Amino acid sequence: MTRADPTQRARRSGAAEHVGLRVALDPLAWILALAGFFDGISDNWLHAALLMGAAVAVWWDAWLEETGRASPDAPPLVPRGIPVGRRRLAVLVGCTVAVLYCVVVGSFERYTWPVTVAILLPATVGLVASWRGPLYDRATPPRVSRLSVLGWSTVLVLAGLWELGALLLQPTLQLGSSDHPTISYMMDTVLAGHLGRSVTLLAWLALGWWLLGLAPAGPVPRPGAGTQAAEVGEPGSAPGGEPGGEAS
Amino acid sequence: MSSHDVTIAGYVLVVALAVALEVAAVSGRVDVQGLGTVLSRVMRHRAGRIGMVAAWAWLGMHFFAR
Repeated sequence: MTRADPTQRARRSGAAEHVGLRVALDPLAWILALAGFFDGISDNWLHAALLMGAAVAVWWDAWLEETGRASPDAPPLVPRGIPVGRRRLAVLVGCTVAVLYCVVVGSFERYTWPVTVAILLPATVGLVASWRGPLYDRATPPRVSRLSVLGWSTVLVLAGLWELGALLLQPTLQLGSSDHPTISYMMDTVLAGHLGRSVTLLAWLALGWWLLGLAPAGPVPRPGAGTQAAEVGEPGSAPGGEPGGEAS
Repeated sequence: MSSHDVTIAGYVLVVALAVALEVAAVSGRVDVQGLGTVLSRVMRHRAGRIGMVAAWAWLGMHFFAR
């Protein structure tokens, strides 16, 4: 067994430092961590724990990616080729459970432990599912245009700034104002009653399901190829491993 | 026009901009993709999925949970 010479050791050490730095500077993890920090100092420690946990998960994933130890995504939870009858039955059962959940949880008062636990349940399932892999077997969309990135980023930033402006124009951060209503302030009226809470919960669940369903399972379809080109487990295929590299 | 109206108008404007982008994406006349396509692209990696789902989970907690 030969020992590495000092130059090699220094090179390895330098590479490890670069990996550590790249992981530490992961922008998404920092956004989640900062959001968690500000939620924490606002005395929302449970919200902070969720965001911090997500930040740690993103850092951990980045570390695994950088060190070449990342495990591939699991196959889609809903594979192709399920008989229509079975699929319809699953949708029917899922919708019934969701509606029952919303009716029951909607009867709970906001900001109480029962509703907190009831929200944490699907939230945890969603986060675990997002770590595991995609929900459906769908192809990765091709690289999006600069105009798309610019347009949707503008919408997101404008919405955030407008909400922040309204929040800062309130009498205090905790006290809402009709003159400068935030989305939360406007939602207070909706969420005051059972029906409003149930409908909002249903919309929240539907949004989560839609988001999870957007995660692609396969590479970008080749021009002229059908959707079958995106079959999971195709030899040599990796999620997002299309030519052209990073985008959006 | 009161402060309340101006604030609401701002939200409506943002929503209108989002709807216009989505309509432009569906029409195919402009080189712009819909929100679903953009988010799908973001969610092709595990980190993107976690980020998006964490935002969704936080939204539910913000409106309901302690």
